[in-house]
Amino acid sequence: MIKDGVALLKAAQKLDEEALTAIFDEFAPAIYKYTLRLCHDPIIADNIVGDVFAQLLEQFAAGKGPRTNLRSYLYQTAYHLVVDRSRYNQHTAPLEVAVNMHEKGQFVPTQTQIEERVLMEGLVTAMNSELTEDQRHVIILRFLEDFSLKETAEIVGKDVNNIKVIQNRGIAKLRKALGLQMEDE
Amino acid sequence: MEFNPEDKKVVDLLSKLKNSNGTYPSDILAARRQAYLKQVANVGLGIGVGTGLKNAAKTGNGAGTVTTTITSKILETALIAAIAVEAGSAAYLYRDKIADLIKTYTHSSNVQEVTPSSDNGSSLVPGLIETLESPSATITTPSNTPSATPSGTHGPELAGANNGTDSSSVNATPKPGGNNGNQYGLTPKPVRTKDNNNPGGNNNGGGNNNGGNGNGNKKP
Repeated sequence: MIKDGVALLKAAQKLDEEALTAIFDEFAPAIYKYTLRLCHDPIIADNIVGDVFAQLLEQFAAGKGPRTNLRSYLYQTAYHLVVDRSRYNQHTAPLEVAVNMHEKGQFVPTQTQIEERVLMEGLVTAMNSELTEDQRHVIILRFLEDFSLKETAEIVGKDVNNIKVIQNRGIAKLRKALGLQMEDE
Repeated sequence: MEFNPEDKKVVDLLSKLKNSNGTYPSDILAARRQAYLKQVANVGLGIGVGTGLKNAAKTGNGAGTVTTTITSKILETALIAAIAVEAGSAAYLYRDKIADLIKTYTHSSNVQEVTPSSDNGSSLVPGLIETLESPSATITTPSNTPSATPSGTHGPELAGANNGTDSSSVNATPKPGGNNGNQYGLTPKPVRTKDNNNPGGNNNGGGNNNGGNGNGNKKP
């Protein structure tokens, strides 16, 4: 089993079956989650996962593909595919698909948990309604996918300073939207 | 990156949202993984990389991918076989033409090989060249050349040789008379003269006349 990231990438470039399978197992769920957050459609998210790894195989077979940051490369490919499908602007489905915090019948929520859930729902609503596409995308990459500023800039295709500005404006908008809930606390 | 306390609260909430559900459904993930493994196998074999991957990515179905790959392979094999059979039958039907073409090609190449040998003529011995040229000189010397062409293109020594016997044959064409342009129609028609000495004589053989058998016969 290849565990080192660099060794995994090098083996995958040589079309090693074990390495390619390991890459899929490691990144497919995360790519699915990220895509689902962007497009809100589980079927499209699944198709995009298939497209992402098919493109990766094609690139490796052609002697191309990522040389250093595989994770960033996969997210970038997924983002471009989402944009290509022209589903990015249709925010008809709520982000609750990804939230799904309700686990029925397992426990009785306390007052704090109920308040937190209300906050979370408010946050999701604000993300869907208040933020611009760029702000939403940067917030997802930075805080839900844990990418660094540099990696986020690579994926989005913008400057690092620009990403900082987009991120701060997005957070400010969310804070403003959640202001009532915070004041209630 | 540092945030102010209010922003920190938003960031904390976002971190909690990160751990929320939205996981890949296990059955869909298994199907996707199966399809991906088949693509990996196809890439490893080098079979239909481009089309296979694109079709697989679009269909998203492993069974569909395999079916497409097999179908494309069968079609490819059938096409290659059909092309081979057609080429063979065409070659058999037109075998004569093909053979002629090949012969023509090889013949023309022989000619090209021969042409450089003409340069070797320059390397002949000068004495040999002289002996080759000498017959032409003997041919032009006889005085009673029957082929008295009215063109007047004879050399000066030829005209001089004929001065005593047949001066009319030399000046067959009249002078332009100041008209150096078109001489068409000015050439006089030849007049047959009666032969008193040898009415049935053999004047046709050029060789006979050249050998000193000149009887004064002249051919107009």
